[in-house]
Amino acid sequence: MTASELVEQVQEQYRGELIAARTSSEVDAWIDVPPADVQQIAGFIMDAWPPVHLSTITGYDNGREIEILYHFVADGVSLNLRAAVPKDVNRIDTITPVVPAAVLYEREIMDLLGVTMVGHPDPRRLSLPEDWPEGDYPLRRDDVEDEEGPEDNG
Amino acid sequence: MAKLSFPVGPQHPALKEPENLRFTVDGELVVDADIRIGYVHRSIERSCSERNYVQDMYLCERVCGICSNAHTLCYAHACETLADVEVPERAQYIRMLMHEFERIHSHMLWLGVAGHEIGFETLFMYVWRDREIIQDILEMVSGSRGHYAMTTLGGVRYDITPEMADRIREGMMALRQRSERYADIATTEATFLKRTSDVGVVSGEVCRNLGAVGPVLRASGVAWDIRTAFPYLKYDTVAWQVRTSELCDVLGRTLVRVLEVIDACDICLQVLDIMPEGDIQARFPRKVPEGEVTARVEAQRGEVIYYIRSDGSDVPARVKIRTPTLANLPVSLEMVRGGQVADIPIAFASIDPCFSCTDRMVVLDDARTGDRRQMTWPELVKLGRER
Amino acid sequence: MLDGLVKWARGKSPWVCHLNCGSCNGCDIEIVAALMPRFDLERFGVLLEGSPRHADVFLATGPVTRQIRDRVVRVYEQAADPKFVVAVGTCGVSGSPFYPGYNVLGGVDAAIPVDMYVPGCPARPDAISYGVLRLLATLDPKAEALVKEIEERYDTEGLVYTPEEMAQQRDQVEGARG
Repeated sequence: MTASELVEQVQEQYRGELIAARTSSEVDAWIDVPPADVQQIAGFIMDAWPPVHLSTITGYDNGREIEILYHFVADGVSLNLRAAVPKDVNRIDTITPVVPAAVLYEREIMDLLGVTMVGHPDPRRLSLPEDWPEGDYPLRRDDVEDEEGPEDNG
Repeated sequence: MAKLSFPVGPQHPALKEPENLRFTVDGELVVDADIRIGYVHRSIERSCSERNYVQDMYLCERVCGICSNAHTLCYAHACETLADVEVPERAQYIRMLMHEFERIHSHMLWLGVAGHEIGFETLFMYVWRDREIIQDILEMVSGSRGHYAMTTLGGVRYDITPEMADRIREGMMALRQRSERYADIATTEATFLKRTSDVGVVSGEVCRNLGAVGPVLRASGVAWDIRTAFPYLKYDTVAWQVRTSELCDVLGRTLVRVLEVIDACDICLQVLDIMPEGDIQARFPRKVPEGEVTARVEAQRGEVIYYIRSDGSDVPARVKIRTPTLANLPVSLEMVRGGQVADIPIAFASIDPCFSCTDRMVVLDDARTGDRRQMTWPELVKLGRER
Repeated sequence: MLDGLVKWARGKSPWVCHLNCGSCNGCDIEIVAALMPRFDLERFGVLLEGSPRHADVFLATGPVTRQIRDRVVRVYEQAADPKFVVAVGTCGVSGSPFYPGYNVLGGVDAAIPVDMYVPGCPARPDAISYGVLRLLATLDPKAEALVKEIEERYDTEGLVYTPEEMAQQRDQVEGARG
């Protein structure tokens, strides 16, 4: 399957709900979704093209939001799902019920960026020492103002 | 002559401290397992956003001392995609050589260590002696035995001369022969089989659900390898195959790795014959155009993924790195659950964990008696060998 | 201290203990390689021993991370005197390139006193062996003779640094920074 075909299928399923969808190559797809829908859409992906592999989850502070990027491999396509969490909300549902492999990657984001993964079965620290000060998230950039989104690199 | 007694990994006192590897046991049976990491957290991702793209190559190389070339390769791929730079063909073939050389050195390192974990010291010694062949090749080509600094943005830093090519050929033939011997040992040597067969069993389905990668995944029957899933370099121009095993145990993981060493030798021999003359470096801009990209490579332990976000300057906005050991940690705990305490060292080691992520203090909580035993990794290994 | 010296003089094998403070494993592998048949530190009478309680020399690698610092100190305190520490690898020497980083405190000497510095990234097995020998040479005439032999045959300048030599290096670097 090509990235465009996959994007089309997701768009068909979630007509009007997706924030953005693009491809940057034959095999790279980037889909932006509302944070509230992320567990549902992840579930759809897992069911539509099994077996789906979750490579990792990236957290990125763009100044006003924390972008959570879920990097999947679905039917040969590198599918990057992005949910931008506003900093004043700072929480998003865990996807572990539908993607068990997310368990450690979500812990890392909670630890280094401070976004709560609601419903995570084991929300312990992952990388930082136990006595690391609460509320100190080394990968946050609270001093940065609004950043523009990335341009299409395809 | 004094006896050589060998620890694998760092040392820790048996003091009351936050444990790193915690096992709940019922007698000698492991009922549950948990791991704590973070001891090698060196702030690398944040440091990457504070240094330029050239400096970050140096930094990313040092994420791991055993997979360092794989990291530079993945990082370079990501940057070259962002900057739309095409790497010359000859450089791609040289990168393939380095990629496979590193696979060889790492799998041999692992095989020796695995031998040590089950008390097979002669295997350890022989494999590490043979490993010096690839270490010499790496040093000849790059000037270093580790952190080779061969990859640069846009290509490679050093060329392969015809004299080097001849020495590499000799080395590959020798390693191939030795590896066939190791495959033989792994499949016929009674003590090796006893300690690895049916140990650390996980099905392909469990591997996939938990996000496992690399030889661990392939030894449970799943034929997934980034070199074919997201082709890179020139693997489509040489004859090779993705190695799998249906055994799903430590023995399966051993076989996959030994076969991958043999394949690596064959790949390198082919590359030396077909690589064209030409440049080894393309120009790379100081400022990288705005954008975002993911890049993946099949490192020796499995999938390495980099995500890089560029803001158009000479400093990346974000570099996210996921190493294969992290992807294999959940499945490694499954490997020890339901097994014997004595099998913990070899079962855990079969994922080829980055040393510093693993060994450390081990705690065994007896669910039946409420007893707690604390021991160091070497003590646990010793327990395993005495069985 | 005197008891320790007498022990050395009797030709006791120094027991070496490996300590990873947060390294990438590059140097750890080269330490193991130093004991393998090719470089064979063992023929100099060195024995790699598991327990820190029996250690005479610690081979410490890696930048000291926040999480590991207290453990390193406790391991060091567990060992009986006389004991020595060799900081192996560039990040063991100074923490570089990870220092400064929010979770990195510096090189090995950010946690425990260091008696010999062996830079390199990774440090070579030959340099590690030479560093250990030079340390032992201050106490053991056998080691001292070996060191002399090595220095006659090879150029060893800049391979390893004593604390005094390292302090000089640091002054130079700071001076250059201005």
